[in-house]
Amino acid sequence: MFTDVLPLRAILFQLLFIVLAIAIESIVLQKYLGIGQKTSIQYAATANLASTVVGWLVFFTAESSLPPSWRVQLIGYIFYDRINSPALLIGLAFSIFIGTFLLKVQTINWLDQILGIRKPSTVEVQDPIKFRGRTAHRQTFSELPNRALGVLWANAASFSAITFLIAVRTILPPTNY
Amino acid sequence: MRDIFDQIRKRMQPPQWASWQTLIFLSIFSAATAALTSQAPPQIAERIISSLGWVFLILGTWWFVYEPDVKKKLKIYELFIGPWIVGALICIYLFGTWEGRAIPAPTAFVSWPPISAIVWSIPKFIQSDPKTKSPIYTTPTPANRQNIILVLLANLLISCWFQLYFEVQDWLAEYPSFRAQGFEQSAFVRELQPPEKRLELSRGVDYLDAAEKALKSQLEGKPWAEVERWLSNLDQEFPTVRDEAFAQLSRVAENQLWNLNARVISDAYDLEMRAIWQGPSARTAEYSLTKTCRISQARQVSTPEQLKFNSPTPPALSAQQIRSLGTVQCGAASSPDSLPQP
Repeated sequence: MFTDVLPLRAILFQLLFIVLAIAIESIVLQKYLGIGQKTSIQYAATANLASTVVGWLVFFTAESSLPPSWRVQLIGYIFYDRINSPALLIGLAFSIFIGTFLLKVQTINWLDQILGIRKPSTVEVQDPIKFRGRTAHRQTFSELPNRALGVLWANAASFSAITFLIAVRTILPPTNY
Repeated sequence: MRDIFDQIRKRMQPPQWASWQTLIFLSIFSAATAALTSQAPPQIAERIISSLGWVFLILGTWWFVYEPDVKKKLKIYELFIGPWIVGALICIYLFGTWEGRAIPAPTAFVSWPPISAIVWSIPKFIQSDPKTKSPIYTTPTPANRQNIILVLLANLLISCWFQLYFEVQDWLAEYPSFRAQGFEQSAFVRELQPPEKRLELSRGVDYLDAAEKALKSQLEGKPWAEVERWLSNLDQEFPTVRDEAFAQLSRVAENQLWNLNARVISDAYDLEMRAIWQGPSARTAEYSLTKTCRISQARQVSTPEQLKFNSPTPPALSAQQIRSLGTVQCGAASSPDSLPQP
């Protein structure tokens, strides 16, 4: 019943991708949002772990409800790394990108609530009240770090790095790792 | 004699009544009592007592791993593994073992990491009251809250990996022939020990063997003229063989992905049967297995039937005659992959 076919490669790649994504995203968030190193690592680690777990849950529910022919295609992709329509793969990757972005923004908001971190934007909005000059007004509007945009940049950076690694793996001749 | 008893007693007696040893003894006692209760089908008493035994065992182990000396020894690179031991016991108690064997059930494996993470985080919610020394609920500090979230998420990820393993096992049970082409290209799975003979993992071999049996039952011992007629009408006649072979296969979801056809490849009536895998393939070429059967005529001198007096046919008519009958000889199934690599 239980065979020695183990998802070891999936685990290996996932660990590599998560560590890479946390490293890249924490740097981007730190630079873009002007927050401390510790907070940015907390944000990146929590957001990435949460989106990975949610992603697996979506995968398991979707897999069990697929029609048999699609399921066979999915199994073929996982076992042989071959897919009939690359367009489907690109579309899926794009929707995963959007999905993880929304999920990460939401996770970071929840994390702020749970940890009692005050949002940097609320701190900075209160500041310009002191000087009500034109320059201050403009600054609040355009130069205020926008969290969602920061997360979007971070997500884009980590997805690019992961896509690059996947591309390298596809191009290189197969080795038995 | 008394010394011996004293020693045993000293060793057995828990240092305090409120200690982990007491709980472990209670658990052993419950197990013994449960074994003594009646084995009649409802087994209500046995179930209650053995559940109590499990609860005592879990609580005792929980207490034991948090003893300061033990806690120090159970650390692997600063990570205290006690909660995962307690979590394992809880999961085996809750979800049982797989089909009564020594392996815990899949549900137990999948729920083990998150349950252990919860066990790990419980001390963070409890603080001892400075006056009464009794435990009281407390909200964890922000740093601890972050740790709890990360440990819980990481453990959920591990249980997703367990679930993926069981998912792969389900797929292999439903579509066993995927193994025949090897998983060298896969980005997800790996075989610990790649099997020596891949071909035999394909159920195409079973399908072709079943087809050989069906073919023999169709042609063997039939008059040669009939055999030749059968072969010339192969397209109409072969579906019966295919259906018969298909009916002999064990029912798995994968059967839908197999097709079988046949053609005559030489004038000496070599019939090549080909089982074609219509599922995903590791290579661009389609994956198929072939089996070649030589259909020839065997001359059989019929024994003088006139000696059989109970035969309904008049003995005089069935004089010695030579009949040629069909015989079928098949080789082993093979695939392009099974040829030795250059």
